[in-house]
Amino acid sequence: MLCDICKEQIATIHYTEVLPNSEPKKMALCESCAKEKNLLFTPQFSVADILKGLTQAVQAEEEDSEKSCPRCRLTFARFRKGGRLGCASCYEAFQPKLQHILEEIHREKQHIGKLPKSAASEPSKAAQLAELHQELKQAIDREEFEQAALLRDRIQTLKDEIRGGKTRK
Amino acid sequence: MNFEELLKGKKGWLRGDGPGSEIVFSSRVRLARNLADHLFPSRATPSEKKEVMEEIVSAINSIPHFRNCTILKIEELSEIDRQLLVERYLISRELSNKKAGSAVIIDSKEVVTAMINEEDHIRMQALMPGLRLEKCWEMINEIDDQLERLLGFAFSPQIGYLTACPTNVGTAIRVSAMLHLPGLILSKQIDQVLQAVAKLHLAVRGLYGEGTEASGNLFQISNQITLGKSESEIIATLEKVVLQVIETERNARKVLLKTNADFLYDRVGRAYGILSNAHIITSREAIDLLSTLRMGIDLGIVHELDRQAINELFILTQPAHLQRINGRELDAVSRDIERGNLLRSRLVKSKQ
Repeated sequence: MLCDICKEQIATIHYTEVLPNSEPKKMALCESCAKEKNLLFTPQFSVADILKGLTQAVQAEEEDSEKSCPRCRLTFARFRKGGRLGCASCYEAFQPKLQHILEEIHREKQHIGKLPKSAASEPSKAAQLAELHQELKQAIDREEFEQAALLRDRIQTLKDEIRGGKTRK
Repeated sequence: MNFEELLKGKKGWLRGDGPGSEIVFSSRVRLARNLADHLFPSRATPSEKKEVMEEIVSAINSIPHFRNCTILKIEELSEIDRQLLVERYLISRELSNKKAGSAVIIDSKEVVTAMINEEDHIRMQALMPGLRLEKCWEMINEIDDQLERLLGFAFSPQIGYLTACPTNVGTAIRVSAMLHLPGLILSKQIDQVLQAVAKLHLAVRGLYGEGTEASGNLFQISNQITLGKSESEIIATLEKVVLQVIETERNARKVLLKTNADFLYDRVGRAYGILSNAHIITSREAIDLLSTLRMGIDLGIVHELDRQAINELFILTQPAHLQRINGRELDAVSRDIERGNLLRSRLVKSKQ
């Protein structure tokens, strides 16, 4: 694929341009054109800078960056600046925005892997959920789609139960 | 803590053994954990941080693995000793700049360390020589199980272990291997290889310096994604990639030796010559030459030295180590002179 700008060199940088008042446009550029457009990462960038980039998109949608975590009082604006959350409750307090950020970083939204023994020993719904997700992933890897569909339904039921449980409380 | 013992440096990853150790300097697995009922370090008051520290220290003291461990409070260490721990990879630079409430716990074998109140409440790592990611994970996983029973970690069934930075959420695991790749640099294949690795969402960093300008030909490959993949998956992926890089490096060395033996022998010989004769030598020059010399040992060009000796020199020639060995503060010029003295005495001794 040739660069969209110079049409001479091989394109190695692919990105989607989102400009105000226009449709997102897929772009493919060569390194030198990307450099001219200031698209390449400068060597000096930090996690905080990346997060700022990610959170800007979120902020455009919602203008409540002054919202703060009820437990540690960290504001979302402050988190954007420092890149660090203040406590475990921040994840709930900033849930929708953080969800978006997590997906941008990891391209996934469900934890798969180790569970604390306290969550794993009693057959808690949370632990079951994580386990089902793991099984689902394996089923998809093995291309057992019928099994995967069953698992997906069980996950949905369990999620509804968890949510139901929370509102009752 | 016995710094004199640390200076002798016969422990931990410095041994230079293990699978693939002619290319893999060290393997590391690190877990981040936070106590559910305390604010993360960046929001905690000094007194809350101390409370967290005491809780963690008492939990760690009850774990068999940490029998005879060393507990160091950062605020009680001198500038040079803090720097020394960073040079050893026992603590991060970030921890070395912390004040009250931060500490590091080092096990008696210098394999497992736990940093307290760095970015997260606990950052524990296992660091071993050679390619031993599985083994590192087994050790750290078991310790994590034991600590979890005593401490109770912040965890969400949806997004896993909760960390101060969203980039670590999920498994909160960072798996990395430190690779010595002089063959790929000399044969100019390094960019290709590093780009291929980066495409797999793995991070590559030069150990000293950035990108392909990395001095010492040392590169660290680590996972970036921590959510949506299990620990074993993350480890297996990294291991697979590292094995491929090792293979490419081995081939590059083989080809160089076959087609360019004179050139290789010359480079190694010159490196050895400068290192054992220089009187003034910068850290950067020493690292580059030690890298070349180490390749000479790995290729059988130099016989009278072993890997451990070179690994030690990589560390002992760093600024804080030099100052600790000499027992006083040294400015940059005096360090370059003392570095020369140390290298000469070590390398000449081994020739006899």
